[in-house]
Amino acid sequence: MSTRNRWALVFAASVLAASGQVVGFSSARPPAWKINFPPDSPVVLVSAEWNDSRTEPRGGALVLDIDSVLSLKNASQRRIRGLTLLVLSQEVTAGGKASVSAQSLDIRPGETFPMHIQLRLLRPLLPSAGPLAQVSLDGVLFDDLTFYGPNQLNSRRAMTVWEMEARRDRQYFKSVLAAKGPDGLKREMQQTLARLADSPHFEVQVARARRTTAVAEEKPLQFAFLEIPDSPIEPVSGVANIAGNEARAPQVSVRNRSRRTVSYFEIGWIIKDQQGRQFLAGSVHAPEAGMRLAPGASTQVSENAQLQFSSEPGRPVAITGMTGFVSQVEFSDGAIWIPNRSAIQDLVPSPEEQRLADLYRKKGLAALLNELNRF
Amino acid sequence: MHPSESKLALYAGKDLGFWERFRISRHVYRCERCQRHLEELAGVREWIGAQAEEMPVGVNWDNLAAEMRANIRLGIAAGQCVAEPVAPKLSLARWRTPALVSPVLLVMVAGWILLSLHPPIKPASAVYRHDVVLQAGAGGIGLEKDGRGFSLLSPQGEGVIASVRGETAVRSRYVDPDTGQMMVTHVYAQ
Repeated sequence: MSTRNRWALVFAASVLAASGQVVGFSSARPPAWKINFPPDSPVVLVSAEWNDSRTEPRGGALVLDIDSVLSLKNASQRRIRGLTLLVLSQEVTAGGKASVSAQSLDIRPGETFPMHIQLRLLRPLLPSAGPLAQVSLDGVLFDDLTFYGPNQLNSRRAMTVWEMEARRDRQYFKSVLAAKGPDGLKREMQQTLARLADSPHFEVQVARARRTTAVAEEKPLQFAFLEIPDSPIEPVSGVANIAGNEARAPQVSVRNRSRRTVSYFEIGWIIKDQQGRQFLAGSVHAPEAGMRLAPGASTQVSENAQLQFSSEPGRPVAITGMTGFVSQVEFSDGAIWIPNRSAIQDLVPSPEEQRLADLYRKKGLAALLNELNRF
Repeated sequence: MHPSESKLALYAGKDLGFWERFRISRHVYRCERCQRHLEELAGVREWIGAQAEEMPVGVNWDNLAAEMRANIRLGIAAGQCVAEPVAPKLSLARWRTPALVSPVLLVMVAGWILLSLHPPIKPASAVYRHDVVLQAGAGGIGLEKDGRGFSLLSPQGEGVIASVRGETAVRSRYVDPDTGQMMVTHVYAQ
């Protein structure tokens, strides 16, 4: 082979390698996304834009950057209040499963609406014939609180709680408007925005607790519970092992003080730091299925988890106090209880309060009044 | 985000430029933690002032300061050339070492006071090294496995509130800036 031919071969190989790199791992190749809605779904896909979605190999994994806008249509005869989509790249891989929910919707029959999916998922970097990621419907909640969907993620309960909270908060703001007028509502929104701005930002890491013995500096710290008189569940005691910025293995004992059998409950978990700042760390909850807590009966729930808190990466936050409150209860007949607003109004603003305050901030009082009148 | 300790110290000493001073003053107005830091720094300054009053009289402090500045810029040898002592040379030379050492001591004392007020928190042991770790914060949701970290969600919406749900999922909620919808995203460890 002549020198010229050899150079030509090297050049051709380089071009092929470069194009392979681009086609295989960048945005040029149309990614194999699949949207899988059941035939009788009350929501149908009108169009999907995947333009900003990317795939990129990293180590032994393929990172899927999904940034898509789905255009969906309400094909049912009822108004849609909430929607949850399950996004799967690989169910058995950590980081391969996620869900996206939109709540406080008001989608009329026949109306088309957007759903933004913004996620990064992982899957093994192995050749596969199937799609890189699948989007499927986990559930739709209607305005009469009926539900459609496979409910693999228990989204029926989650969306019902969000909808009930949203109705509670809208009712509250309507009552403020009726009692104090637009200026009173404006003040409420400004207070909510101030609370959101003042909320301390923390990072939390969670992993399954592997350690079974306590370390030397670890001490048990008792929960203080918010008293909510009408709560069907009464927290009796709660404790977590604390070492510096780490909380391990929280346990909460509760008693069913209602006259109905309880099948699920969640305890909101608030952490206090050295400066007295409080933030919502998460929740301790009952098993997703199989629990039947009879009236008057007691039980204990625990999380086999280790949590670490920091104000920013590398700056641990010392845990000096913990507060718990009953945030939701589901009865065996499917009915759901949520706390009233006055019991928890000093905590983190609810999702609906956050949404309405955001609307007020961006579009003003008139837009907020219109929104409250829609429901 | 809070300003750094050094920025706050410069702010307390009115040694920042206009825009930086304006930016930090806006933050301090809203932030109790930084207000407390400033009060502590003011306390340290008062303490330093009190110590200065106990120093011997009869020393020309302006010239001493000028000499220190010169020493910093040109080195000790050059400082000996540019100093213009009005006091007897022997007296000035006697105070040179304390003058150089005392700022270092003051910084050490101030650091000791601040550390005694806010002792550093010892991070808990790195028990997660070989586990799947889910992370949630204002910047989004992430996952770490075998020491490698991935950001799984960095929502563009403002006011992102992240929390942990049980031991295997993290949740992030935010208002989508394009649609105005309240979005809730979960990422699962399994």
